[in-house]
Amino acid sequence: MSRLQDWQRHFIDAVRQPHRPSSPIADTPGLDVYRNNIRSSLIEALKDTFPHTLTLLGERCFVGEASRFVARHPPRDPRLAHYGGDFVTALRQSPDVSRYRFVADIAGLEHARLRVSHAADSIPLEACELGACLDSDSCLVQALPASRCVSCEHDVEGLWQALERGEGSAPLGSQGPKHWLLVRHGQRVQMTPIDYVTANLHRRLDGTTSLAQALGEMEQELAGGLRASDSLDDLLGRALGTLVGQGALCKPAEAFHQPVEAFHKTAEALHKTAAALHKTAEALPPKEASRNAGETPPPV
Amino acid sequence: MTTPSTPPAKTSSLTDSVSSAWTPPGSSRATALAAKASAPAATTGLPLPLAAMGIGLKFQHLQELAALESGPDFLELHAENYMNAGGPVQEQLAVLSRRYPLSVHGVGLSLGSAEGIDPEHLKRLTTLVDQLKPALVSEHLAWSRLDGHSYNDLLPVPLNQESLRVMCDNVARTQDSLGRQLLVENPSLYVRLDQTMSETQFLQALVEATGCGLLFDVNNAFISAANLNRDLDSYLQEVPWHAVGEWHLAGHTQDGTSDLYIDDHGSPVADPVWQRYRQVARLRPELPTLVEWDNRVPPLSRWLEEVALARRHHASAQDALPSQQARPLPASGALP
Repeated sequence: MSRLQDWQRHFIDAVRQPHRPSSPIADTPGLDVYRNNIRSSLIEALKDTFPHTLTLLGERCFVGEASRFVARHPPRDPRLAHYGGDFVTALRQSPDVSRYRFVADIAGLEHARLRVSHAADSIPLEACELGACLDSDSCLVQALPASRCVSCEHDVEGLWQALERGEGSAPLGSQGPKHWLLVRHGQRVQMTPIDYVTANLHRRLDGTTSLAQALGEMEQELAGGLRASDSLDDLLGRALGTLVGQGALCKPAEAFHQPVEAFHKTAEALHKTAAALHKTAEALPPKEASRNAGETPPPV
Repeated sequence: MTTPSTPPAKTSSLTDSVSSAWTPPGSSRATALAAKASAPAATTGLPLPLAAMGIGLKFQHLQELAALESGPDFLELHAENYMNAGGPVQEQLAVLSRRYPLSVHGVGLSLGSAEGIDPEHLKRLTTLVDQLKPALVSEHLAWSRLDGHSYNDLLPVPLNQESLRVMCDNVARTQDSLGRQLLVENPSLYVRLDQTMSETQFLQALVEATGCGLLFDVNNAFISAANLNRDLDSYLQEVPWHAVGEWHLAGHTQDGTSDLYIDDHGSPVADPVWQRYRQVARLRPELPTLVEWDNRVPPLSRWLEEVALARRHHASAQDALPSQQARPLPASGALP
């Protein structure tokens, strides 16, 4: 280690752990300035990212949670908009907000909205492109970069809408855990409640798995746990239709084709469901069919 | 390297634009960099007018600035706030880049880090600069990166031969990636460090070794002098003014407990800083001036009032006759 690196490590130690008698860096009032700059700027960054969480917790409680988080989790990226992803987990685990676990759900939605707001632009997959894609074992489809799924443990739809209107609070809904799909359209981020199958499919489509393979894997995963009233074809078809209808899928920027052999088994398994999926793709549900939790301007 | 002795003010050497004007050092690497920097692709953004007066670009002002009939001469953006892959903010920035000359001011590259700069972050900065083609690109004589963490502040660098090598390597690497000159800003300091070089010696050596320019923050110079009991007049005598490419002005506060001056960028420019600005601006009157305001950001109209005030101070500095100055400053870093 160089002498400069050694000194910089001592400096950070002195900033992060004040009043250590063995520190070679004197704990002067000047050091307090750096200490306070780092701490306060990161807390302000969290306030900017989580304004509704701040509203729900109040200034004092939020700053307490944020202070503990900042002390334990210095950023790894100098872009402050990327800071605080783990704050959601910290809130979920904090004993001080154990009676208000729904706050972590709101925080999760806020963080996802921020990431979606600043994600790369891309062209959503059109419904007319889906048919050809389903016929191809090598067609890669990925979740739109400006889209994200968030799983909430509570029904916070009404609360979120109230917070967006500037109201302090609202009662939780009675529907229990929910999955949300966030997609940026132009200047706005649209949030739509989705089912588990749709959320699962969205997460699988990472640009390295073909659509056929993803559907095949899901078919195997879901097959054992279906209720009598469920049709696998309907579930997958509806999930795919929702994602395409919401504009949450796109083709990878540099699509590449994998060997057909690798997907032979999957293609065979999908053969039965292909017809049903085609039908679904042709008759995609209109966007209005899914409830919209409210369009929100992207935070800046 | 030979030190240019550019006359300080009102000379015929003033150019139409001050963007990327740069005398490189004599090394082959720096010469190659100079050739790249002069390529058209690096400077096709809107040029700065002479003695331009700018403000920082804040999210809350994006739309107002786009609609403004008579705005500031240029906008300076914090690079890390606009390193997004896409989205409406980037679109608005693209709109503004067609209306205003831009300056990209990095705060997170950590040029003084012993472990070097983050290659991914440098790539992001390079992408942003390539997209915007700003008139100026600047960073700090500071560090913030250690063991993969990024501490969100401009931490002080102990000035010695080792840190000079580190800064030179990191600045050279940055300029190589950008293909253009970087301005390095003098710091605001709160602690006295063991060091073997003065700040002006360090900056001079950095300029000579890398061909970088300097961003001279008048408020930082005032704060560091006050906090470290530094003789500001002597300091100003030794600054390599020929290398300076931009002025920064900002507000500060004084901590009631420690009496330290804090560079909080949250208030109007203080009178002692205006006084020093008048003193130095006449040395390089063609340079652009940025009025910073990063905390408690005022309405745009209030900020533009501060810019108008900066124009008046700048004009009064040019009107002052040399004989009226108690202690004229050199323009080239050499003592008179």
